[in-house]
Amino acid sequence: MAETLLNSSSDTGGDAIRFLRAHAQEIVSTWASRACALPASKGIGGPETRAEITAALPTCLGIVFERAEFDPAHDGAALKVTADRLSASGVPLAAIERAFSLLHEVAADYARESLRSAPAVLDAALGAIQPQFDEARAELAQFYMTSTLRKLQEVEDKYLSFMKNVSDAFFVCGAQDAAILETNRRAEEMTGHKTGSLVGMRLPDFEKQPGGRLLPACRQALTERQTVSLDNVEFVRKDGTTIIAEARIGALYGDYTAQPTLLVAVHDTTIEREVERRMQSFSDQLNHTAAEKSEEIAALTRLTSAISSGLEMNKFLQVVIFEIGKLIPFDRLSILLMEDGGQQYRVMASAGAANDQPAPGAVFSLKGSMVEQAYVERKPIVQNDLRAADAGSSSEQATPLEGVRSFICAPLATGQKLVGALLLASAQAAAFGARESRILQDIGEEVAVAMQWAKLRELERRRKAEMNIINEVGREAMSTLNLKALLKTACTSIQKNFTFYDVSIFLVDWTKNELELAAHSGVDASYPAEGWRTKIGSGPISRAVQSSGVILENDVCRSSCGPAGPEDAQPAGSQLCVPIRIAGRVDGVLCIRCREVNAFYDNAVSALATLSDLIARAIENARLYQHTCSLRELNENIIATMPSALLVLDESLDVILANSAYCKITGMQKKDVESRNIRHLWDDELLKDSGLLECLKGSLQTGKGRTLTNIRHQRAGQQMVLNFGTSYMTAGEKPRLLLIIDDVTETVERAFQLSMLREINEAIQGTLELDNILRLVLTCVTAGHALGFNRGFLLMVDKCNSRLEGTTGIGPLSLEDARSIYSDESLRRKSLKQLLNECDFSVRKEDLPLYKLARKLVFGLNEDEIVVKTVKEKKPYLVHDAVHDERVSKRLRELLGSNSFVSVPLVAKDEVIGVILADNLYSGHPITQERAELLAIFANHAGLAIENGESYARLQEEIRERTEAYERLEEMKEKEVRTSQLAAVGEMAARVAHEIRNPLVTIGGYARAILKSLSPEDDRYHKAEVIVGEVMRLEKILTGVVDFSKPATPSKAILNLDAIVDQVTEFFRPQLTERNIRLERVQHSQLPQISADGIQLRQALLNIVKNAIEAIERDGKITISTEFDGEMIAVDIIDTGPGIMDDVRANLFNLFYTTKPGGTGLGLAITRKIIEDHRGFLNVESNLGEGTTFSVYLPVGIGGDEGPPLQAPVQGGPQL
Amino acid sequence: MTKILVVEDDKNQQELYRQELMDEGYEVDVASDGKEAITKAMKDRPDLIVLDISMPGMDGIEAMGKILGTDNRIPIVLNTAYSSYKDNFMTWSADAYVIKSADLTPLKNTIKQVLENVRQQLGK
Repeated sequence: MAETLLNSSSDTGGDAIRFLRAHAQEIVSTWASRACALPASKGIGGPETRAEITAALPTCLGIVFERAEFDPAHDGAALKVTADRLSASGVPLAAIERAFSLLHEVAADYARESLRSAPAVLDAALGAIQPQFDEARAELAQFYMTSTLRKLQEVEDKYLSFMKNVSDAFFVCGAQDAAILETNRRAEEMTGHKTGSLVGMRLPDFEKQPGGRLLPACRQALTERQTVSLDNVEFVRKDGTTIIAEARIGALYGDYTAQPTLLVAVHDTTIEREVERRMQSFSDQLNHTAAEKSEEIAALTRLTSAISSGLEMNKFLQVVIFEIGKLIPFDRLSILLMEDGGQQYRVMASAGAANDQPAPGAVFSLKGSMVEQAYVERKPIVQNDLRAADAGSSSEQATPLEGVRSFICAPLATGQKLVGALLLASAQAAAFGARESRILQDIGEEVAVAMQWAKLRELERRRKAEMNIINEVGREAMSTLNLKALLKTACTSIQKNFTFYDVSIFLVDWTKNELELAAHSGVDASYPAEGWRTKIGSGPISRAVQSSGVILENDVCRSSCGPAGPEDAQPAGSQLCVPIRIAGRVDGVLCIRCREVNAFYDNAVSALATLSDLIARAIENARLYQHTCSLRELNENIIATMPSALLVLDESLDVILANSAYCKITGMQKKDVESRNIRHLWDDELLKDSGLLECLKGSLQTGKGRTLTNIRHQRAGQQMVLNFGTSYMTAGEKPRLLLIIDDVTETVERAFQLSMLREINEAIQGTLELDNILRLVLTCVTAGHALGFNRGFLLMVDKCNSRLEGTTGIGPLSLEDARSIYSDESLRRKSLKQLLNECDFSVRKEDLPLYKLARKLVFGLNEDEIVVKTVKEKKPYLVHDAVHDERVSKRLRELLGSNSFVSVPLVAKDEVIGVILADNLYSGHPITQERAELLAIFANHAGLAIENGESYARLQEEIRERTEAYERLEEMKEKEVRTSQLAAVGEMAARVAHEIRNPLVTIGGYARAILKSLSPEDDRYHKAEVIVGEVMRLEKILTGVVDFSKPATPSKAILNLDAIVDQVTEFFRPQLTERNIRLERVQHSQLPQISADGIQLRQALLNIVKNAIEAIERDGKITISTEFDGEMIAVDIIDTGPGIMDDVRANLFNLFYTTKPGGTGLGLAITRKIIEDHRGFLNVESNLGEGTTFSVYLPVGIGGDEGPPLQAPVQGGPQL
Repeated sequence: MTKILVVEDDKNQQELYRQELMDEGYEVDVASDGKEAITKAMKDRPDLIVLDISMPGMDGIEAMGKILGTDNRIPIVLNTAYSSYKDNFMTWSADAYVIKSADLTPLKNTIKQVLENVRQQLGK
């Protein structure tokens, strides 16, 4: 075999190939054994994968070697077919790649082993298969790229749909537990659940690791109020698969939402991660291969690492330029990027000395250019002598050809997709050859991938920025309704996120046809201040307005309509004017300027257009809000300026709004009223008693307005009359009650004062008693609903003594009294008429609290004193500040104790008869002129009445005197009659008694004698007994009659009545006990010694007590109370008997009048006689069913008119 | 035996007192008016005189004055229908008084009492 090879050295490549082909089976089995030994990290896969590959490889190798032998210009199709087959049967690409690498290695080793002695043969053999493997790798790369791009396309689509439909998976969650409130279609796709079932589930529950990072992030977003981003969050889908996603969580704090809401955007990064991972493995592979390769590969590796390092496009392109520069000398280099679906390309980066090169960002049409050729042919196009080529082509703009002899244009393509092109130029002719073509093709592929990737990254980065803006602007739009602030935020975030030179928003003032700078953010210090205005003209902003379309100027210098914005602003390279359309009309323009030319990409433009829509909506919102605000302001102004007090209540009667009139009336601060409940604001009297609360509730229930009129209300001691009107309304869904309060106190008061004056007149005219009139007058002065002063004093002119004298005063004595009077409910309820009717004239004026003070108000009519002036000048005086009023004397001031009072004359028949002084000492209410005048009018009426009263009083006095004289006469007459009657009765009685007694004694005596001689069994015994009894009765009557008719003059001694009472009670003790009558003894005061006939008094009291006992009969109570008042002793005997009938009472003290069987009718007559003999008197009060009170009054004469008390002989004879 | 002179103008009463007092164990003499009372008192020197005040001719008060004028040691009990005995100073000279009644017990008790008093005085 070796010999064969050695022999055929002339055709070394063919021999080697043939050798390898003959040993294909061996190579494959060697491969299989080596594949098994490979470490896992570089492994080809499991036994199944290996078997699959092992099965495919012999055919593959066969084709490879056959091609290598017969067709040196092979294209590696066999490997590609094999790879496709393997890939289609599920073998991972990495495994295929590694399998091929290994195959290449095994084949090389095999060849090396077999042809050890012939290195040239080896080289040739390797050279023959090398391109095939290269080709296969390229195919694989393309395969990767295709699948990657497909996925990238998906990603892109996803982003686009996100842009259009507020893409990504969005979850609106409640702040409480991140329960899902709302989702979008993407969320359904991502989670595998339908929206209906998603709502209500908790977002954190989707996280793979329970209690993972989502919930804390939500909390963080809520507390820190900023967007929180999470990478690599693993979500479990409905089918159990896991996706890796990126979540951005923002908290929305709106004015309108009470609870903050969480907005969670979930971006599925599973595919990207996969791509990244594969790219990584690819680059690993490349690195691995590059280790044995030339600098080209090293450069490629560096490029690859640049790709995977995630450099930004520009930086990455710089790396590309640098790496190419190391491999291929060039004078100029441009990297072009396809745009607009391949219709044009843009210069992305350039290098080289020439300054006529197109600047980065310049855009050229693809059609007819050299790039197109490279694109169509899919391989580098080399022009090695421009002079020979059709260099005159005017369409070639990308490479101005001055000084350029040769150039090479390599497509940047991945598979079918042309990404861009690499353009190198040299001043040397034939500077580029097959090597450069190959290198550039290799690099081109890598760069294409990288550029795609970078483009993707760039897009993503930008979209992230856009999303940020949308987020920020959106949040601002929701949280602020201040248009200016919103626009400012929009400007700032656009400027910040896109790093634009400056961003401004103009609003169109259609009425003036002007543009107004509403917000600006940027570094241009020369930019005018917000509020700057200009006419709509021909500038780009104006054009955006007029055309209602986006005006993009990527090179301002070449622009037809000049720079956007103010003329003196710093010049910009490129500018973009996006109209802000609201309801089809352009109401503003978003103007973005950038220092660089060609700064705006399609995507940026569409993003900004989206933003402008967002801004438009926000402006609309803000305007609507401002309109609402101004409407509300108008409403509030209307409410605030309403003269009526007004409250707006909610359904629980909390005050939502109080207008200034209410605050003014109540003297409360708006903030103290609002949000308080009406029940706490007003007292129960007003709310409940007046029915207001019922009225409010009724209105709320029925939704109908109601009115309540003339409700009296006491506020700070002042009577108010209020009218209430309610009106039902709804604000949003909620019921509201409008409560209008009219203070009609004054109106009612005026009406009332008129009727009051009439009432007072009636009352006063109806009264003729002077004292009563005076009292009525002062009652009117002080009655709350009449004149309503705190105190009133009446001073009368005493002409005889030439002075003005206080006679009466009405009002409380102290603040405490005042409070108790004002808080007296019953008093307040009474009308004036009732008050006047109920005026208690039985209270002596001397007992009125202010009487003493009134009596001190005495002024000489010659004094220089305001009250005297009132009399003399016959006019009222109102004093506001007594301390500083010269007319008021210190004495008057100190007597009154008040600093403000009114003094009005009481005029009757053109003559001042007195003065009314009134003040508000306790309430401190100022006395108005009007009150003073009312008092003066009243005083005129009162004066007349008083004059009448005085006349009446004089008349009364006369009548009284006459009546008294008459009564005295009558009394004397009566007494005389009684005396003479008594005398006659006495005389007769004495005579009769004497005449009767003796026979009686005889009859009785013998009857007793008979009785004694008989035994009780004798039937005569009883008869004799009757005689004895009857005689005893007759004797008793006789004794009484004699005692009455000819009583002894009292035989007086100094004694204490208490002792007598004790004797009496002691006397009756057995009888009281027997009849179960309780006797109570009450001694109200110590009784003095009196000069009296003890026996007679004892007799008198005995009679009364005996009567009491007999009245009660059984079971009751007798109270004997004694009292001394300084002049008289009073003894009350109170029984609980049935009481005395009126007719009985009239005859009670009459002689021989008795209601008791066996009574003499003498007891009380004698009692009265005794008491009258002691210059005292008796009184009887009796209520039927309750009992009777006998009162004995005895005077305590000091040094009485009687002679020295006679010593009464003791019954039983004188002491010898 | 204790001798009591009852001065009483009413014949029936004279008889009543005489019998009742005799039943009490006294020796009873009676007089119908003041003069007879003085005469009998002077002559018989009774231990006690029961004297009616109201009598025709000389009344009891006058008679008592005269009797006491000659012998003030004879105890006298006024026995009268009047309670107005106090009007006359003379009544104070009597040793006791009894309001005339069909019930003679108060009179008898008073007599007993007065006699006891006298006995005690004499004993001293």
